[in-house]
Amino acid sequence: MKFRFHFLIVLVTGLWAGLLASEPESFVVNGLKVIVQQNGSTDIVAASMCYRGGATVLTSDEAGIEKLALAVAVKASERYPKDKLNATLERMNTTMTTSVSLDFSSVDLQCVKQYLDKSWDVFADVILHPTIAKEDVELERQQLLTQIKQMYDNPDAYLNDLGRRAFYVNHPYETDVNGEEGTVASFTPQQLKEYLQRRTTAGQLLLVVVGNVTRDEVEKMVRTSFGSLNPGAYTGSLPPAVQHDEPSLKIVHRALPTNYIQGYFPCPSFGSDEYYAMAVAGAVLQYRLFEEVRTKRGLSYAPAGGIARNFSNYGFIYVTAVKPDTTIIVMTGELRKMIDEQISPEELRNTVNVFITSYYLRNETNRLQANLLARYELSGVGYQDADKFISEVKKVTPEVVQNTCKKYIKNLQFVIIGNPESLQIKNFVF
Amino acid sequence: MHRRILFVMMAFIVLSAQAFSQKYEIYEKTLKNGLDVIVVQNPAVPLVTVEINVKNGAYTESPEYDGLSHLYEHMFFKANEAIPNQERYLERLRELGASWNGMTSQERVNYFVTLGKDSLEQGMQFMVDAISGPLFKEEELVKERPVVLGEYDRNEANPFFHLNRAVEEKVWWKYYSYKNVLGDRKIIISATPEKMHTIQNRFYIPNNSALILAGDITAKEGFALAQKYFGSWRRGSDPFAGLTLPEHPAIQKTEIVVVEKPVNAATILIEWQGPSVSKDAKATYAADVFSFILGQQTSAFYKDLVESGLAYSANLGYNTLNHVGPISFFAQTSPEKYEAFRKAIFDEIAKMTSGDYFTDEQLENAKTILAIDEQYGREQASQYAHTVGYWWAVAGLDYYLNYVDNLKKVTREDIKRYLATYVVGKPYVMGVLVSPEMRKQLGL
Repeated sequence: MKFRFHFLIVLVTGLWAGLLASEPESFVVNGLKVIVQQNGSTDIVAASMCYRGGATVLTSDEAGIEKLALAVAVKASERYPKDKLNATLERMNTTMTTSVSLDFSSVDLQCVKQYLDKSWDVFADVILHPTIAKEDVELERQQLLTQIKQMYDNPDAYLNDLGRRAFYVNHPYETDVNGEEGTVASFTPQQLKEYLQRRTTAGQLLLVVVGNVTRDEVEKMVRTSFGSLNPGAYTGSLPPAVQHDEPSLKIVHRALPTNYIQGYFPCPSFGSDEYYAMAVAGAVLQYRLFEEVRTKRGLSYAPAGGIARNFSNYGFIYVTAVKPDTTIIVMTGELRKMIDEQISPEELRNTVNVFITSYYLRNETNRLQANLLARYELSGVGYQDADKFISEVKKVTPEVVQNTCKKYIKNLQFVIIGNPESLQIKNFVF
Repeated sequence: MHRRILFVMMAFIVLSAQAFSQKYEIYEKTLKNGLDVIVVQNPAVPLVTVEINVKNGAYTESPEYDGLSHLYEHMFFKANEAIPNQERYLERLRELGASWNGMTSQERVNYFVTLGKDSLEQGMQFMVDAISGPLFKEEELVKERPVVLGEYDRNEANPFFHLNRAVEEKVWWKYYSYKNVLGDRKIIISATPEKMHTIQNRFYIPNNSALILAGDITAKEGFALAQKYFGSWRRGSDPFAGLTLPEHPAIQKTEIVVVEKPVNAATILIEWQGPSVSKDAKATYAADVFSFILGQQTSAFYKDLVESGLAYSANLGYNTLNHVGPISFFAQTSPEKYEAFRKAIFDEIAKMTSGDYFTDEQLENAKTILAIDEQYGREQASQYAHTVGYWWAVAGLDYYLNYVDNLKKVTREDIKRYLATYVVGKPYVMGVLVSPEMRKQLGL
């Protein structure tokens, strides 16, 4: 009996494995592009309505307006006043959250398939007809202001903020999508409402749906709910690459038990041809820093290196260390090796192996898959390339890695938070 | 050896008269050497997580071992009888394409690698070598001490760490080392290979461990591989025989502790001693249901404390443990609203046992929410392995497998009893994290 049961499970599982995720596909409804990936491995459905542009569509006076407006929008809508909205979502344990990043913002829905129709109705209504009530604005404003102030309390968050400002000088990313105290304090409910009206046009939005749902099901829902969306086009452009002509170092003194250090260098934009080689280089750097700084010398618990996934991108080295000079000499030595020496074929092969595992780990959930599809599409590369990651990484050669490092790893912009007893500035010039 | 096939709670669970199907299962088996093997089948991506959980952690640490479960976790990733040093160890992980890590908590230590299915057998060999034959070389221990202290430094750079420690030292006033995961710097600096071997011999044995295989793997494959690679790991004596784990005495009196750091909001942390799974499991289910009711935006708790504008955030939760889990209230407010908020917190607690504090619908919704949360959690097999391992260690797998069924049985009376036994009118420790300026302003 048990044996038969197991035999059945193996067969069924084998069948599932082949049907888990279909190729993503897209269609357009009245100017709104929709990407659908059917995934039968769970009954969970994730949907993201993405707002193109991120920091590039904001003026400095608008820092944080999209974050605040979206946070308030999901609180109440025309057909779902606050208490009704909360009660409806709670009954189904549907979550509706918002996120902002340098490149795009989103309203994200997660629900079980059984409640998709009811959840979708709320999702569409908050996007199309948000209430933006004064009391909700004030509540969210206070919470956002607290987040902004508390960023200074957390050394890692503060270091990231300092780094972004040091690296993206005179660049669209200089505008803080999370907002500044002054701007966030100034937005009126009317401003937020008008801002969302301006942004909620088919051309400025991208909808991604991943889960146990067919294209036909999604298309029907989209036509019903978003079919009459204002078709207004997106007129923005991708952010320019960053170039620094000289290295820099900024120190913020604070009484901490260790020093937080990060150095930034320019990188190929997300999804570009050189991106994959630089991503491999970043992974090699990460392993080498861990080995040289932590394993061999015990200089830090947390050395790191790698690259970000921004449309205008950066690479970095990071460490917390009580001996900043000694540590950073080891780390910049590893940067030098990446430039001067080719990595071995074995090291490349091992790095690619780990990369493939990491790629799958980043795609374990429908929500993560939706984010990746959106990122590829909005970067201009196209969502179809999202599943080319593994093949592109496998094409990378040691020579290409070295050439990419030579081209990009220079003029590091360093930021430090801490209280170093002494610091040789020359050690931070790279 | 016993073997069970478990169509666990989420397989075909009925919630609010609706059925949710779940497309992956949990299977359990115990090997002859006492090792529990748990297979979670989820073929969404072609990966398998191999995770070993050990019943070890702060709860086993007398003052002279304070922090050594954590140091041991770091030493796991070093030389063993099959691999000569950490450099080769890490190189081997890269060859396998593995993503890896370990975590130490109060009642569980776990180690995991996630790798492609093609590398699974090699990964199993790697893990059994690491768990069964660590060498604890003196030179590697010397190098690792500052690394662990570096982790300590990072924690100390976070103001919330100081608030948490100040409160916990008073909540677990008599036996703090048995709750202190990060440990004592002096003990970490003076750790020896002998102490590491003492921990190994007592706790790192198959009959105190669970092997979890989660991802693209069937139960049949998982059990066969477990037997092949872990079957000869030698059984040890009962690790808890002759080991007296102290009972944490109750908080003697309500205390308030103020922590001063350069922060931009006033943070309040209140802790009570809550239930232990082995002594009052019923209260642990009531605690979870009640916490979920409060966590919803329709709750009186949220409306009175957050929506009112008194606080930026507020939550009350219970951390399930076998050796007294804490009940924690955590909230942030401005110095201007601090006094009004502080009063509102205790007004709110006083209301909690009243009959109309939550509705019948909220009670039923909380049970549904917890069940669907389980489903959300299972979507990510690599993370879900950690969840299963945690429950195995602190409460036993049966507790977890029957979790949703037991939540569904929770009544108003159960919640009332939980609150009356552990919260309302009971001594607590309240910590306040403020800047020096705020402290002066508030007269704390």
